[in-house]
Amino acid sequence: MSNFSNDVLTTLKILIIGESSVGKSSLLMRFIHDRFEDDLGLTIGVDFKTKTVVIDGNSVKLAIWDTAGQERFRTLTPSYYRDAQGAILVYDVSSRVSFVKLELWLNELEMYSNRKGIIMMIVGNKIDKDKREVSREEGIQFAKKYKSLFIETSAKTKDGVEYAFDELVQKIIETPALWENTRYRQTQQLTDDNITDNQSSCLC
Amino acid sequence: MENLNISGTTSNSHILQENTCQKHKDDNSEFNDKDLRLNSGKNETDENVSTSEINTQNLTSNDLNMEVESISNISETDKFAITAICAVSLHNLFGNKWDEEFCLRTIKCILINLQLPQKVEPIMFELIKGDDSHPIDPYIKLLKSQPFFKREGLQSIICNLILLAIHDGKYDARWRVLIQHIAVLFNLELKKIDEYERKLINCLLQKTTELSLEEKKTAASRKLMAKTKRYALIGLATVGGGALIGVTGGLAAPLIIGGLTSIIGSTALLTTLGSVVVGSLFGVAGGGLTGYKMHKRVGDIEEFEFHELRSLNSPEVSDIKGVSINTLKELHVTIVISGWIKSTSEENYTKPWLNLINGREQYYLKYESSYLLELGKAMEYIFSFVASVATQEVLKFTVLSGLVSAIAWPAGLLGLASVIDNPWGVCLRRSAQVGKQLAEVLLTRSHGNRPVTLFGYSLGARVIYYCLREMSERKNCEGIVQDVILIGAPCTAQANEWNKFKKVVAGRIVNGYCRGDWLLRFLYRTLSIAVDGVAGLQEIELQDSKIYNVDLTDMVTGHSDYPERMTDILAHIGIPVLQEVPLSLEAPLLDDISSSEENIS
Repeated sequence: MSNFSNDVLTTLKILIIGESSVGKSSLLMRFIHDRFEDDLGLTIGVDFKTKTVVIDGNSVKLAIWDTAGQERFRTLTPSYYRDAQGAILVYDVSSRVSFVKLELWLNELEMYSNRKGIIMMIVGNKIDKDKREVSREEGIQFAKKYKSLFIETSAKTKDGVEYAFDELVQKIIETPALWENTRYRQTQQLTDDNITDNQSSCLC
Repeated sequence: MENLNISGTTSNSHILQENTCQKHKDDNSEFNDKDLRLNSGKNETDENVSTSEINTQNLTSNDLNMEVESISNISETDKFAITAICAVSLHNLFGNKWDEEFCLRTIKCILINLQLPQKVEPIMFELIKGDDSHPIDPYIKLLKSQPFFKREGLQSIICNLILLAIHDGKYDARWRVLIQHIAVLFNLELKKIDEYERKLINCLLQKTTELSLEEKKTAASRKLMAKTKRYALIGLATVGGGALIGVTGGLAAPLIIGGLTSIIGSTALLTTLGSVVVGSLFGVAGGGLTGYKMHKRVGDIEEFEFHELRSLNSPEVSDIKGVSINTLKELHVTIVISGWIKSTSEENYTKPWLNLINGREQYYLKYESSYLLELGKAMEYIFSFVASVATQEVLKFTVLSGLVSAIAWPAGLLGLASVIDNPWGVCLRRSAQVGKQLAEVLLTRSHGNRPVTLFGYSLGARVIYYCLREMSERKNCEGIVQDVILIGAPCTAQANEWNKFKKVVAGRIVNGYCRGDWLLRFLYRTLSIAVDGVAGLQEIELQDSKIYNVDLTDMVTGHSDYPERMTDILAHIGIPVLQEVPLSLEAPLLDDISSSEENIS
């Protein structure tokens, strides 16, 4: 592994999911650009960002898919789950509803993710807010139940954001089964796709 | 529901969403208003039928205008879905390295046209460039579920894409393939695309200046339009205040910037991408292809001319009689190339293709008549020897069953070999040169900046083969040729040779072959090429979504059948032909081969 220390070791696909307006895009914005905007606007469909991070002397490229939480884009999200190695599930600590709904997202993730043992990180965002509807303990309990990592963050004050991503990536890297055969899997999938393409694009 | 749930805590976003909803409603009502206004405008035109000869076309352009304008009333969800559909299609169609630049340029163009925020760009690029192919169905489902699609349907989207494709005066073949691909995804008939293109041409030819809806209604403006049109017809370069940017020369019609602006409407396309419009979409000054002169001669070609192929009994053509010649122009062009001829009359070149209606603008290539005639006569001589159908069937099955080297040719046939071998050899050499000349024509875009589809059988297919080969070795060869259909091609079947054509051809590469083509087999009996295989005798062993092998063994007895059976063959391949439902072809077009084999046995 040390041979590759200067090159990118692997590319990891990471998803950010959760209800609308819990701060998914803000978290990503903080992580990538270290900025915060009060009004980012709603995500259309999905956002895509990449960042290269160094973990234990290895460069790892992160391809982060920031999905839209809005109901009408819900049909799209399953298609992004494929081949993801990590998922960040975000709720808003000042909104109990967003916390309760997290269970649905977890179920969806389990249903559509095709990789066994995908690493999950549950993130309680917006801890800078005075009003709190979900306590830290509740969050931890929930994360334990689903064998997920947990952290509370604030994209606004920068609290915990970096840590959330680092921890997730660290955990994925520690589980080589998740990413070592990436290339093999991809080529296999590509050929599969080609076959279906042939069938569907026939104009005759 | 979602809104309500969140509203308790994140009031900001709630308001935002509510606003969008509100805005949606506004948009809708606004649209309805516009709809009404347009309708009233149409009524008025109806009343004035007699005042202007171009009235009917005005109507269509109004219709179209409405369709395209309404695309600005589209939500971001729709825009995202449309762009994503294009991006994934581009990935699936043009995943090769040489097409990457085109793909990115295209998607950028769509993004700008739809005015999607910048942040969407990376995801679209990822959809195009990513190793994985993303499923396209979710986006289609999403788009179909939206009110915009239910209201407008596909037409406005497709029209807008066509306009985007030609906005810079060049219609890239890959754009057309993309549009056709999207049409297929939505189960839209391909001939609809032709229809939309025609409508757009009509529309573009009408619009001379940027006029508001109210202005358009006035008789004065209509008069102006009629006048401008007349000017345009005689090829005057400037008209009043309206800028007439491109003149395609002579009879070809100019496309006028005002027309585009008013059609694309409020979108930012023209201002952002620059308003360079449409000089040579229809071909170089003069008569386009028919006026082509060989300035640069390849080899010692003696004859190389394009002529219009027009089947006069085609209803499509008679439909448009009385309409100015401009409307016969199409946004794509078809060239057909025949194999051998039996006499010098034009009919020899045109007859096999008489029922082909791959758009209205079709040309045939007349080349090296004297040599093709010589070959034709030699073939006739050979056929007089094997006159009976039975003999031909025997020969066919000899070829079908025998190993390459083990075919025992009848001694009589071998005795005649000297008659045909020489003209055949000459024609092989000449058709290769003609192919290179054709490449020259296409590379210089003498046919206009629009996609071209090539059809050819026998030596005509060889012309196409060498044309593609020549093009594949040149720069900027991409995006000119849309589809190629080679039937009974006397050229190699080597996969790595055909592999190069993927770069040149945007759409389909069709190789129609007959395993029992005894004449072709006979002609190749001594040539080394036979070892690699002849394309007209076997399939091209290349796994690619662009390559289509069509086995015609059950449709023809051999080479000589191609001209007579061309209509059936084209229909079998899936090319639009005039349907005079041939009795011999009882089975549906794309019936699987097994069933037709049963019929034979």
